[in-house]
Amino acid sequence: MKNERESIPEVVRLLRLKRYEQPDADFDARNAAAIRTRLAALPERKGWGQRLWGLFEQTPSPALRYAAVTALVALVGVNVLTLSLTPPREAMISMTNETPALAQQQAEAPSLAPTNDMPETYAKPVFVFEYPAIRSAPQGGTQYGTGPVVPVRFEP
Amino acid sequence: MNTPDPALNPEVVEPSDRDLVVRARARDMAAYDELIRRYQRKIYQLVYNMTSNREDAEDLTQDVFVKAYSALEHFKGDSSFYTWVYRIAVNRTINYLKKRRRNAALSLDDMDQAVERDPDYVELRSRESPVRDATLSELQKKLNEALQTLSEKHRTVVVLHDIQGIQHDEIGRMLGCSEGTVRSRLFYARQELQKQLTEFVS
Repeated sequence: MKNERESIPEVVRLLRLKRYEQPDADFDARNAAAIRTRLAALPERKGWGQRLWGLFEQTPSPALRYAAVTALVALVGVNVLTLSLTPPREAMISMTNETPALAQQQAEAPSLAPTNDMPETYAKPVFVFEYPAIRSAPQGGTQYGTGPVVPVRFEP
Repeated sequence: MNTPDPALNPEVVEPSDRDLVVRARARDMAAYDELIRRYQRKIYQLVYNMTSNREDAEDLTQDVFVKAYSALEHFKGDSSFYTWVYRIAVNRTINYLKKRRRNAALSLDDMDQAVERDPDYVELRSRESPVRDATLSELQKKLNEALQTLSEKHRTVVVLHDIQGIQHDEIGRMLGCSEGTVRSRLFYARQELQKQLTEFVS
């Protein structure tokens, strides 16, 4: 026991004496009571709906309240209108599938990892922005370096 | 209905921290009171040893439990409640110390008289060393001053390991660093303390 104690560095043995520094006897009750008081003073937690309503209620001017409600109703209305005027997604896809060349390409599409040279096998979106630099890439890929071209086999 | 006292009835099993956390999340204040009762002294001692100021320590301890209660719904249970609340305490104390002015006044708790019977203290006093001549309060003051010279991260590991007796791996989880980092910080911190306490350490 003594040897075990002596193997501990002296500075650590000195520091361990700090364990005897203890708060007064009333600490537990006093501190717990103080925590309870502080917890009781915490504002009640509300959901987002309640918080939004609270914000509305706190708005001082009635004109501002009506303006906020009008803006909200207008925003929802515009959204609903936009959605009702937009054709559903299935209809858009069937429109693109009507192209016979694309349907044939899709049927013959090999099950390979996609590359830049592959035929388009996906349902083409209505509007596609194609970056000019990609379209003007040289055929047969880019030659890097000056040495001979060595084919690389990825299969094991 | 009165809750049976576990000390009187050994068959009554105390609820686990996990159970208490679940109940506290459902706004059961009695459950949270029990968690406070279990850990407030340990948290107080951690903060006290970090700040060497009992008023700050008491205030920060309360702060930690209020913060923990507010954040209880975010406690995922990956670690124990004990580790989680310690992490909150360490972070809040370090933030507080960064804001506090340097060389803040010490305000120390009394030393329990049981220290007079501690084998280490008895042995240190029996030697031809300044500990022999120093009064207990002088020694206490020197220890606290030496601790305050360390950086916050070095002080944290010394307090957690050498004073509170927490294992390296647990400290790593609390501080979010590796066990190796804890060990190296501890090594450096002890070296620094050795320099500070050279008159007491042979």
